[in-house]
Amino acid sequence: MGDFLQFAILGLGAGTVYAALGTGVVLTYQAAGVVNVALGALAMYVTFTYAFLENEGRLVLPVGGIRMAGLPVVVEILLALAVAAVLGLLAYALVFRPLRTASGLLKLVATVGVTVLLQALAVLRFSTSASTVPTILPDKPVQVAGATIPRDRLYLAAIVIVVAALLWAFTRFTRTGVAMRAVAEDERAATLLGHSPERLSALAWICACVVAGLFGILAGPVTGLDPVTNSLFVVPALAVALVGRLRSFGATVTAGIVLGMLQGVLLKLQQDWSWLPQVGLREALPFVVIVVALVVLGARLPTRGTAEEARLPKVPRTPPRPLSVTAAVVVAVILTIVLTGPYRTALTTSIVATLVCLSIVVLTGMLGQISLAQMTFAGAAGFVLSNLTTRAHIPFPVAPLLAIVVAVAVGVLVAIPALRIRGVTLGVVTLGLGMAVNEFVFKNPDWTGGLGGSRVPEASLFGLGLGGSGDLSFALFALAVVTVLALAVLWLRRTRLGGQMLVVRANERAAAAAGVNVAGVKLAGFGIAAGLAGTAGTLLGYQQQSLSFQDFDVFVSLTYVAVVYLAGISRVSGAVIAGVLAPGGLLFYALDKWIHLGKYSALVSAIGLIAALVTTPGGVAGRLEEQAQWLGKRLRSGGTRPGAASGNGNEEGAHVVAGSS
Amino acid sequence: MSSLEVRELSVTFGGVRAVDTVTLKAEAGKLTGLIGPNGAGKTTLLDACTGFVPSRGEVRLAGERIDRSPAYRRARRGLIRTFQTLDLFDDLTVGDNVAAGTPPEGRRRWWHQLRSMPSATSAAVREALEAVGLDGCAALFPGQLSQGQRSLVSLARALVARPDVLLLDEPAAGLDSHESDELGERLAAIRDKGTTILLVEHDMGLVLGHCDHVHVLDGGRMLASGTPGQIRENPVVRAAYLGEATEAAEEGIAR
Repeated sequence: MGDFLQFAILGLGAGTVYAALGTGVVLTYQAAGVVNVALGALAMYVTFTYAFLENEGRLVLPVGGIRMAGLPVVVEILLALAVAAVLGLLAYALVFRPLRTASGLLKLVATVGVTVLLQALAVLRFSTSASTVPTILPDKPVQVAGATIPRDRLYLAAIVIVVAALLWAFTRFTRTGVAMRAVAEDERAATLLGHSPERLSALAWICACVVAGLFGILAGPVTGLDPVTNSLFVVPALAVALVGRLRSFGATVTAGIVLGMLQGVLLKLQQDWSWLPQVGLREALPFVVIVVALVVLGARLPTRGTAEEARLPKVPRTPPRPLSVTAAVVVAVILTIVLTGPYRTALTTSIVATLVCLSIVVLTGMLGQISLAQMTFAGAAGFVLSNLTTRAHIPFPVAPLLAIVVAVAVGVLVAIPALRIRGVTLGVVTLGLGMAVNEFVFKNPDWTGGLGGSRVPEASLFGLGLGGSGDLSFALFALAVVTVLALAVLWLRRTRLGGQMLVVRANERAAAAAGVNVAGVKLAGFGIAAGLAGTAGTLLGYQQQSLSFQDFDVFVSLTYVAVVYLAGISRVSGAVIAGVLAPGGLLFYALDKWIHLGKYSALVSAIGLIAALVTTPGGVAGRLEEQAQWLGKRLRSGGTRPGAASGNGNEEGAHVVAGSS
Repeated sequence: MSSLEVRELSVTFGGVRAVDTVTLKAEAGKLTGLIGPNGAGKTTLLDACTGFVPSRGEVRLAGERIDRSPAYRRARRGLIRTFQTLDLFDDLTVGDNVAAGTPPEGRRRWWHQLRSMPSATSAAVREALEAVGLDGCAALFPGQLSQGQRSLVSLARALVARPDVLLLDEPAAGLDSHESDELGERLAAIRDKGTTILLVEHDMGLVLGHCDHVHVLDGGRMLASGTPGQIRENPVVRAAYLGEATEAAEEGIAR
């Protein structure tokens, strides 16, 4: 019993971080309508700032730094928290204020951009020597009920409870705090009562970042410090925030602490019972929490009242002209043949990425369902392919097809919660699922290659090898597959099912009233999207001839959603552009080669992504099309101007006459 | 022609009985009105008939029980409704909104879903838009129309499904008295073509002037039913609902 208590208390370290980040998630969701994925990365960055200050005596800023050695720990913490406050304010002022009336998905995607930015900054600015956080809280063990317990965990839990209580009291008893809640309920009404939603949102951002940073620092000695791992703490934090219904600080903090303690107990169980899976069990727990939270709390999860209803970009009414489709295919074929070496590899990466993005276009763009785990479906197919080929020796066209069928089945399974859950909440569920599957299944050496990666042997048909990354034959094969599937999606858009998907996206209730089987359409949409992602997973396997869990990480999924949103999430052309823009893709590689971004490439692409999201919220593809139409009109009216006698169309003719008179 | 029958229907939200053992019938081929003060349970009754809230009791369409079917099945069987909040597809043009209501022809198998979607320029869509007087608006988006016109779009979207029974939830909201009168004429014309209509409405002139039969709900229970004339004279209804508004309503009818 004492042992269990000890492990449970040890788990408080991580639990505190979940509780604190969860509190921050609740704050920014309530006051600013943002499901804040970036809080994990922010806490990580602030913790690095503190650790560098303590270890190296230097306050490192995003640009430059100030030497200040020998400061008391409290002052160092305050300095790091000041950095957190400034970052929060900057994030709000530069990114989320311009996006305040944007759709929840766009805001979420922007927090992904901020995450990537902070991770890139952390890698650039902090050397790994800072990655140990010196002890702050006294950690001398105490004996409680026969268990030896490091004291710091208890202090941590006490502090997080006090902070949450203070936040609760603030939102309950102060005028500003009550206004913050009012804004969450009804932004327009709160504005009419004379509150500034913008100032309140800025305040919420600052509070959330400071709280996240504080516990990043305080729990740092326990959790360790790493740009990726610490950013991922946001997934369990989102889970516990869902338990608090994205509203209650008390429930969120309780859930965070309980989750941490459960993870501690699981560690003990894993030691005692060797038959338990040794990998990923604890990391899969947040997903269980999410599912339980949603089953128990059901439809009581709130939606936030914004002043303006924000929607996804419109789906184009008319399909692209056959001429432009043909042109795109011809250009792609020529590029595939002409480009060689690393450029062809980058092109192949773009082709495969296009397919992943196509699955997001179908699911989110056409059906309106937010999935932040498309790479999980890709991974399901990829690892099944690896097992089918290396263990069962099933030949080429059969093995990948079976793998894709498995991905479709997984997709349909995931669609079942989507029948009840909507919007960004569904996104959080899929995020939890993605992380759970990655840690529990993809990292498991019994089912995959584990840390070493899974082999996918070269495919061959009738003795002809398909080749892999960099081979012309493989690039052409991938291009053919993706072209056929892209055309199929264009066709799907014109079918009855496609029409029903758009109708479900627009209004589920009215869709049901018009005789649309909403549940069936959702299942079909998830299945199709998972099939597309699964196909991408098998292509990725053949391209790299080896797959690892890192290929299917939740951050990879998040990045794809961000890139395809940027490119145009409701269009097939958006998927193609997203493929070109994707990390490791053609543009990425070319820029890297020409401008020699080198180590700055991740930073620059994150800044580019955020800037593009803020300036082009409708997506690049839509903007390009508008400009092409505008140009076309200009050219046409320019053509008729000299000879008004040609007189095609009265309106234009009249316009010309009026202009010349 | 089909009738819609409700027997001992109850809907509870938490502890509140929004609809309390209501029995009523919309006769086949008739225009039936359903009135009652705010919170009487009219919309909830409509939701229960069409499968949008769980309920107890029987709902019969043309004599067959449909109360176990999901909402979309009831719609496919010919029970079509509109919403008080209209619930148009804001991303779609008016024509596409109406086209989305077009029922698939013939037997349905899953692969039929892969046929071309109904066109916004089909004869059926044009006919439905003409029936509500919105011909020429097909290429516009709902956001470009007035509230009254948007209400008519939702009516057209219901009509294109060729309903056996049509349930309308306050279609006259946002219409001026002239437009409301016009709507009454249109509904009568739709009824005369064989569609059964159940009309939930606040506009007394419309209900008492055009309906064949009127049911009155109050506090989730049936208060009275009868011809418009009987309802107008019914002292219980006058006390509970019409009250001081009666004179204004009668003026409206006289006009």
